[in-house]
Amino acid sequence: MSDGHAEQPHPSVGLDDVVHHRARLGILTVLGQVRKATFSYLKSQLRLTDGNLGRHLEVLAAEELVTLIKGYEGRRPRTWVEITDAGDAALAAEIATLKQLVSRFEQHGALPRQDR
Amino acid sequence: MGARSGAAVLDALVAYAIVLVCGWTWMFAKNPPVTSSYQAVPGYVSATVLIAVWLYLTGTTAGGGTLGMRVAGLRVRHADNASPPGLARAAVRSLVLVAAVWLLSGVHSTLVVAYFLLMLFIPGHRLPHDLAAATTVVRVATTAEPQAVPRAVAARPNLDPTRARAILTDLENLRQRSAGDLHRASVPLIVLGLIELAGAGADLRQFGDLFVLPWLYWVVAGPVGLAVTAWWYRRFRRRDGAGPGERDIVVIAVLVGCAAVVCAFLPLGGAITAAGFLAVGLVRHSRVLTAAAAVSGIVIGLEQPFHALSTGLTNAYPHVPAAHLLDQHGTTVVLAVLGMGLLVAGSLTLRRELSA
Repeated sequence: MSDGHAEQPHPSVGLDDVVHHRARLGILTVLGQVRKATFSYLKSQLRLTDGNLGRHLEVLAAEELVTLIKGYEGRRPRTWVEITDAGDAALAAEIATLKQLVSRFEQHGALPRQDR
Repeated sequence: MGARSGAAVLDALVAYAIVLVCGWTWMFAKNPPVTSSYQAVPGYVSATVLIAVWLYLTGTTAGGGTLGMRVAGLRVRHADNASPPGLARAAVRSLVLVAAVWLLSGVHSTLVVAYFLLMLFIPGHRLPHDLAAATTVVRVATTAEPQAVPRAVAARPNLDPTRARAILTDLENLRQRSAGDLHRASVPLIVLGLIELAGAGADLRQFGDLFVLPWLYWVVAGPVGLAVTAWWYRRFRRRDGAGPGERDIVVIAVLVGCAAVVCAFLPLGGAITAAGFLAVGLVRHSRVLTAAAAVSGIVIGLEQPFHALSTGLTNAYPHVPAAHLLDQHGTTVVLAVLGMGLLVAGSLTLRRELSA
């Protein structure tokens, strides 16, 4: 699957990226608040499927934005996800970028579509 | 906030070093030499100390930050154009700071802490001396290059602004929803309230020979209360499947325990306990808890001057029974009122957290 690495953007790749972007920012946002959460907590907060969430977490863990801690609660396996400092920084930076984008749009918002 | 406190402590150490150097110079230069450290310090020595500290702050701030700030990765900037403040602005800022600390510490040392905690309530974490000099304290980026967003969470360059706004709204809702799941401030507020109510009981001065009881009480109550708080956080985290670890609170509890034992024979137990809960409020980003702990710490810290005042009242009006009552039970009343206030605040917070 694409992680935004593809150089040749197929239209559906762009759409995928937007959805991924949102889900991953969502994961970081929730973890930014609670610091540490179980897999099932994240699943219910973000309304993602098991496979979907698992894949996103793997991508985030590969970039060391979150750490996955697999453990047991009694005899049931339970995965905890914890945000790293890099994750905090990435979330803050990306939110700042989005805000900048929105405010730039609002400043020139009177005629947004004319030059397109 | 943590960086600001660290910087303030380091600069306080530098100021203390200045005090020591000035003090020693005076002691050795004086003829005949000073033999007792309790000898009154003449005004010109205090003035020299104040001016030296002011010069130190001005000189370092003009270039962008005091030594403590540089270590903590902070800088002072002009509020409008983000350039270093320059000599005049630095001089004003340092003058207001030195004057505020000097005047407040003259009344009581805990008021200095209160002064710095004002930053919680001023937008942009500024303090009166920042406002007076139109400066602000900023964190410097650790890397020179602009912060790169990792690919996994970076938006496509062609992201539509409308969509960006939708994402931001979405994330804000998510943030508030998950924040509502944290039982952050209510339990420590209630625990601190109970500690102070029980402290009101333990502080009854008519225990007479058992005068060691209040001190012993504070040595035990702080760490135990913090341990209960940590346990409670752990319980909620297990139940909800989310929440910060309790390790930081355990560390705070141990530190408070050590500090309470070391200071067991100074009347500092109540203030140390409040400082522990203040630390919990800071690490858990709870304004309510931070403010409540700061207020109780300051009130408990002011107990000595308060006691002196009530003793003075009793001596001045020996025939008014209320004055005697205040003298004998003043601390108890103050602690009880404080404890009740915290309990009310804690239960209101708990109700809000449960309904969220």
